Amino acid sequence: MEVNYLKKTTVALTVVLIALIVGASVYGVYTLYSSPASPTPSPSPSSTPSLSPTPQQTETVTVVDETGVSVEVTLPVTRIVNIAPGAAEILCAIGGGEKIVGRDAYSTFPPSMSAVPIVAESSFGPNMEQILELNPDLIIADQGLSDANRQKFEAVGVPVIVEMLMEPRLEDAIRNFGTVLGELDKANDYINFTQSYETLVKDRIATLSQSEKPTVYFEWYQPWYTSSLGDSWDELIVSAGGQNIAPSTLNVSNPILSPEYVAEQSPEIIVRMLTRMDGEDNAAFETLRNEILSRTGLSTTTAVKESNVFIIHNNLLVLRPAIGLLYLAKWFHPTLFADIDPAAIHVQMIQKYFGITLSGVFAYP
Amino acid sequence: MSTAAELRRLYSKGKKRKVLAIFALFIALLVAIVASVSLGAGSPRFIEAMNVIFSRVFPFFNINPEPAITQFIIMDLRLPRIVLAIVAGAGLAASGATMQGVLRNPLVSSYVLGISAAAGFGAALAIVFGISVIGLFGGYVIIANAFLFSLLAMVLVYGIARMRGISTETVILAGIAIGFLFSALLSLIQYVAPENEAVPAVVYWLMGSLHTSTWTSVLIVSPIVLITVLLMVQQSWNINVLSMGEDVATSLGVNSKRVLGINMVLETLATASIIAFSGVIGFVDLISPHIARMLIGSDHRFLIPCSALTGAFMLLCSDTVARLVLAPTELPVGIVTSLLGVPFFIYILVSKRRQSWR
Repeated sequence: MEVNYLKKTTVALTVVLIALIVGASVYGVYTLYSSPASPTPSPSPSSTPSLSPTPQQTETVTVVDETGVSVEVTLPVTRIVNIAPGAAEILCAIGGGEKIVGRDAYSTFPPSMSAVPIVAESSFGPNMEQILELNPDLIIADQGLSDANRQKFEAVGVPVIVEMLMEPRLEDAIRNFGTVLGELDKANDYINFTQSYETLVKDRIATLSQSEKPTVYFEWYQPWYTSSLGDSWDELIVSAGGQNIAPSTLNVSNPILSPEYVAEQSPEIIVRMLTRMDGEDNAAFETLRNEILSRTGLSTTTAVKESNVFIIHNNLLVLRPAIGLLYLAKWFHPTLFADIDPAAIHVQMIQKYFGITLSGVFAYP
Repeated sequence: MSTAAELRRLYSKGKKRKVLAIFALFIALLVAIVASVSLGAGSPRFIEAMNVIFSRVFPFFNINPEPAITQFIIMDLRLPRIVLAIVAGAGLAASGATMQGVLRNPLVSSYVLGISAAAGFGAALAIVFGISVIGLFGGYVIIANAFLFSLLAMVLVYGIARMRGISTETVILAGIAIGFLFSALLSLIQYVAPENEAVPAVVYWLMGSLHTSTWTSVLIVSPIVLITVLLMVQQSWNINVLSMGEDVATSLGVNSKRVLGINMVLETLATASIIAFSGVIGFVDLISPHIARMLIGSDHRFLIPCSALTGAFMLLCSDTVARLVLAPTELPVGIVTSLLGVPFFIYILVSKRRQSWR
């Protein structure tokens, strides 16, 4: 009797546990997909329809995207589905924000994006039906979009531009967006904003000898993940007047550096990139920095001994490289860039291109 | 000569051979330790390493102290990693030997019992979403999650097996089922991972690595492994009896269900605490017991310690190679374990005449 009772209890418990795990996972995935959309479930449907019916003289432009494909786009473009996280920011900055009718779940900046319906998790998972129902005349995606899905869009006559929204491709992408939006001047202005600061930093560090440039250990995502020479992160470090300690022989896409190598190199500065996964509030920056300051493998490095450990939001390195560059340059050469206030320039930039006041933390300390 | 004396002589001869094999393995492990402490991405080599260690053991002989950075590399980076490799290898292999014996199945490993997949799922939850069961930060979220989900897998396997009356078949089948459940959930996480960087991080974790080892991790893992492995050795008579079949065991007064339950708990505790820190290191727990069995036969009183030594040796050698091949980049140790272990295992399999698995 007792055995039977026990058995029944175990059966029930096991079934409940399995159900709980499966349920929790499904719920987790569900919230992940739906949460960014929840603030405004039914966005104003009247945002764009007046634009499409007006018959205008058709003009076509051809742009070459990141994949080397020549994409022919008929102007004017009025309905864009953007499923490349990051591209929304650029499109809005150069006057194309109004034309975005569908987006991926991670295009959340500028805040006006929250009114645009989500039609894809990211380029990896586009909802084909929802996208086509929006009747777009241009789809912007990143390399996550599979060739098969790209062909399906093209088969129904919708041009697809695939772009990587980070250096070294960023400027070409902005220019391509400017071309298809008919806003090339604004695109060039946006590029010039970045370039002016790149030139400023370049000029100031030009006279530095190699020994005046601090050695830098750059880390991203997980402990000991670094960037090898020639990567985009490495280029930023070098542009800001630093020396990356990762050797050039690393032919691994996500190199993980040996702790004893880092200890021996004893970098003077440690920069850790913060991603959305780490959280984006003040505490997240502090947590990351404290972890590095207290990590055993790093305790002997100059950077930790002198507390030269800095955390930077990945948006500043990816989408707003001018601001990221200024932060890095000021950390590497505080006296040389004493008159530069990266935070203030960041605020100016956001005000100028998006008309909003910047809030939040982007670099620490 | 009487038969009894003859048997006793044969037995003690076999016993001597077994002790000798264990001693030889011990020496091999010592050599591997010396080699491992002398090699790495940093510059310290044999002389420096020995200097540092001897100066720590005999402080009064310290005539020519090494620079602080050399001492740090040897004492705080290489040694904890070496110790963890030994402890992890020994724990995994002893667990493998125990469970293969208890379940009377040569294919049993932490993969088959669903523990690896569950640990992987827990870790991936932490890596991709930062979701943890307990509020901790940094690497500890991953460790706690991996550990707790491994235990959860064991509870589920045991619960399911109990429904049909616990037996070797039900445990293995339940383990496979739970393993598939967690693998599917793991794939789901990887598929929906919002950050592109998260997926390689999960994959890397699943391949196993010891590069984040510290004395803290050694201090946490070692006592658990030491105690569980000793308890496994204590169980070896029961396992020996059980390996003659459940009926024989019952007639000799061994409660096979109880032995199975106890060993499942021991195995899970050891394996879970190890892979929580190291990531999923496969193959060691599957193959080390076989190598040990080929060397000394299947008396679990000797097999469990011998497997532990084999596993420790295997994992230490693999991790040393993983540190060196692409230095200063780390290679996941799980890859090396299989790449080095498989040819070695096939060699033993082909060259040995003895039938190791009845």
